[in-house]
Amino acid sequence: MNRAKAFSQSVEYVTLENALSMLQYSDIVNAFSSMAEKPWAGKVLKRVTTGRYTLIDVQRDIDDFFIEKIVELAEETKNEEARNCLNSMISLSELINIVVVLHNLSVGRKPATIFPTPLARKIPLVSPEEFDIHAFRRNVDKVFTGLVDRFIKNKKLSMREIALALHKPVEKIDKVSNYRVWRLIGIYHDAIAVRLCRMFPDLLKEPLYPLIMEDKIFREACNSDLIELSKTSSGYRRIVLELFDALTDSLTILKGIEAFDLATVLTTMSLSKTLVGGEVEEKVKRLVHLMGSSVILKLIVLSVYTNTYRVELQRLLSKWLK
Amino acid sequence: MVEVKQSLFTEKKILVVGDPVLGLIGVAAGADALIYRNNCEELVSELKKSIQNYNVLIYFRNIEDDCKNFRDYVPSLKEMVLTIPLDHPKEAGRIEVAEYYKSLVKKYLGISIEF
Repeated sequence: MNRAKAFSQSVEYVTLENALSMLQYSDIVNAFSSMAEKPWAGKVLKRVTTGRYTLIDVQRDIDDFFIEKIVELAEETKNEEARNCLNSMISLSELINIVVVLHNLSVGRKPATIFPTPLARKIPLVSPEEFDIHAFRRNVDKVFTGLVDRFIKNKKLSMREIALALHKPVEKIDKVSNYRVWRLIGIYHDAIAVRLCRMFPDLLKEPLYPLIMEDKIFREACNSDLIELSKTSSGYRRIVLELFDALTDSLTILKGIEAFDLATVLTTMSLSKTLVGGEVEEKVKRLVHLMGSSVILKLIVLSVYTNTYRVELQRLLSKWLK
Repeated sequence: MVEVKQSLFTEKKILVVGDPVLGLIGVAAGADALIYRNNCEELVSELKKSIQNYNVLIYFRNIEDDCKNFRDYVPSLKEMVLTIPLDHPKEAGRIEVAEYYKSLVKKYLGISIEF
């Protein structure tokens, strides 16, 4: 990659320096004004300086920017192995979004999304009654249509379909051809699986195949109290313990499953530092940075907007973003 | 425990960080070696103390995978010494392990060895 391109891509990310600088401001306008030259600041800056806005508006603007970049990244990637790896990670994130949307609909809540994925920007913030499930089905990737079809038919989520949908995104990921990427996608897959089985304990009755976690700790992660789980500091692979260490730090600012989501993102961002060579590693690293930047920027906005957890967030980012 | 193997050579320029085999080979070739045995924090603290004595650091990449502290320290290491990350034989694919070590030694330490 030439230097100019590398530079233009690096400014798409939120660096530790950017994050710590923004956290020094007491309002969103000044925090983003201090980053005015960054591409990711433009849309938010326009919104917050030209009229009334809500926290959700700002967070959606942030998601929109990074989702567009993720879509561009997927489209520009021609190398088949790199595409498979990108699609794998995007699909795992997409699965969480789809399950959360369907679950919310089934319990009469507004649809919501968790991770920045191409589907996320197509989900309208409407009441469950106004939500067009058939339009939603047309937008989801074909690997998930079985899951949505079963939901439309039975009006509830099928655990079997979720288990199948968890397996599909990692089918083509090869451990031998790129060990480090496999490892990163593996822990991401396992964390997504844990996230889902914590939402639906019945999912554990289905055949689930963690890629990195030993079966014992996988089941514990699905069942244990998150605070207890975060204290696990030995006895398992270091990569798994790293996820729990990130969970310990995430629990200082977020509660429950949101802390687990943040820990998942922090762990993949930290592991992405081991990706240094070749197109596959480079593309996956970029995807992880784009996804992570979106999550981190939204957290910064939340902290500045609500004037909470500033010190805790500074501490957490200093450890995980360095 | 981090094991510091001292070579017979007085000029210390190359530091090898890896498994016992790579460490032994490194020492035989006149380098110093730190052996990584899942002792992440100890390894990084030892490196921080001694890295200024070296010009080149040869290490197995799998240490970066395992040890977050080392991973976070690598950017600083790159500013201080020439860093040469190597794939561990078990992840280098279908290879003859002995030949792999021999080729590493030949390439990076400039000596021929026989097992």
